[in-house]
Amino acid sequence: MMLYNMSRRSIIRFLAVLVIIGWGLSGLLYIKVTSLRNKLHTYEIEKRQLQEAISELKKRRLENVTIRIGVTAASDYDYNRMKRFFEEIIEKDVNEYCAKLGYDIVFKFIIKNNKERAGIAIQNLQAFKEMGINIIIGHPWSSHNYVSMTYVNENNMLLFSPSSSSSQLARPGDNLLRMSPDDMAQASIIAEMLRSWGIKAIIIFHTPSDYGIGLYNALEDEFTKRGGVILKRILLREPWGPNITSYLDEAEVAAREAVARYGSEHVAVQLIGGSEFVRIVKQARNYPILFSLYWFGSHYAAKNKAFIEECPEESSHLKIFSPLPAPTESPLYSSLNERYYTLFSEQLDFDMACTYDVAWIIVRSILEAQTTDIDQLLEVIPAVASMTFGASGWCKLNEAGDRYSANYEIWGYGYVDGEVKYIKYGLYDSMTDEVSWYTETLGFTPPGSGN
Amino acid sequence: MDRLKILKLTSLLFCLAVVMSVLIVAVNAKSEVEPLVWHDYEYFDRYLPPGYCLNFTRKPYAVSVHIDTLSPSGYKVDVTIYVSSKLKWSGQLGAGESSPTITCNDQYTEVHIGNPNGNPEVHITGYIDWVMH
Repeated sequence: MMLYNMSRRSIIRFLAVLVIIGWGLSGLLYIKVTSLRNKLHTYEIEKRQLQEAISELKKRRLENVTIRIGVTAASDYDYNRMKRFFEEIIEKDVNEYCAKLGYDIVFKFIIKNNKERAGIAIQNLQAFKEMGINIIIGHPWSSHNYVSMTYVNENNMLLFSPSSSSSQLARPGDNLLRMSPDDMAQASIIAEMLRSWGIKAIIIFHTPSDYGIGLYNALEDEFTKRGGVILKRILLREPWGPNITSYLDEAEVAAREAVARYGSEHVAVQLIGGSEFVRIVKQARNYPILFSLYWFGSHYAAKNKAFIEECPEESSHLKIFSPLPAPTESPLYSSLNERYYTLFSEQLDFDMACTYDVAWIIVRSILEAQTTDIDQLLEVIPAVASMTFGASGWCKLNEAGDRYSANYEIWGYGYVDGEVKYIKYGLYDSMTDEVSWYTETLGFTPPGSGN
Repeated sequence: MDRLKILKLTSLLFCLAVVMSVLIVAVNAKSEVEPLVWHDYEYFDRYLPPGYCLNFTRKPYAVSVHIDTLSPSGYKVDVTIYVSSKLKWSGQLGAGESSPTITCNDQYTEVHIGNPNGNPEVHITGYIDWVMH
């Protein structure tokens, strides 16, 4: 009605105002819609990013997978026992554990034989790489690890050796971890062994190898810290034959002076090396003072068949007490040893106990980190190892990725039922840093025992 | 000069030219096949306990390993040659044995000589023949 009464001009004005208002409103509406659309687009991008992140996290969480881990054995003998050990004990234990915890993960261990050759050890790593296997329990031998490291580092693989101990491989920052202490760790054990026996002065024979010189230097440091004196250092060089007499002459003179000064029960001969000393031991009976002393050795002289085969009488007389890494007694070791004995009719040794522990540390690290990425595992494994008391004992690794410490059994030679055999004469306990001598086996108490 | 002398002289010059050409071609061919190289012998005389190794590195044109003596006798050592981080050759060598010559073309080359853990401590002498150019 109002519109009817308005003049045409007014109507036009009114309509123009309406058009302007409408135009303004639709402009505002357009701006609002565009802003909402932009927000929606941003949300969509964020949603997509979140979905990608969730999917990435899901992928990183190991589910419904079979994880294959390579294992290398050193020789035919090692391959046969390793294969049975993994198939009948380790793989079963590990997969039962995963099932109990509700993990949808299966571990499969693939065993290959290095056949005592470095070339085959590298070929086995290449074969594992082609199979997509980057985590390897091995190699047992240091020489195989040494020549493999170029390939391993280049191809971002991980080697975790149960038994390699060469001090040349004690290097931080590489892709090799070892469950055996490096050879130089025995310097403090030998020094403690000598001190606990009551030895105050020693005559040392060693070869000019890196091992011989390195262990001599480390032992000098450890023994003198304990108040001991190194009276004579005799470096053995080839040719053995013509030189042996002069080496022994020199040692006999030093021994005579030492016995006069310290008393024969406080003087000893220390060998740093293995079967290269067989000739020295064999001829020692011609040197009355040297032959009246007790002799000590390093790990190469422990349970060394060359001493039994080539100089049994002399070895039995001198004893040659030598340390060898050994598993720490525990309920875990005992129960595993029982199962191992059922399979192989022999005691579970340190190397095999370490193999069991290495497998478990790798499995736990993968489960905890939910990854098989080598760089991440190299970060995680030392933490997991430091919290593992396994079949071999406390598995903590040092800064070079090698076992931090271990117990050592002290082996020597002696007659059993008319035959010269390896005899366990004592034990070094890494927890207490003390040596206990088996006085019943020795038949007497060492002069320094209990000090 | 008579015609005969000119002919003889021309023939002689022609023969000389042929001989010179053959010599030049031969010298050039030889220099293409065998580049100017020299041998740098790196000698070693070391004691290696079981599991211990020797390590040598260079950027040679080619390399080979020679074991002169190894005692106690009868044992062998593992020899491995990597060129640019790729395994080129590996084998076991005893006293008096050599590896084949491996061409390295100036790439970073590593030679490892390892005493296998199954051996006793060995005394080893020999040399690495680095072929340089």
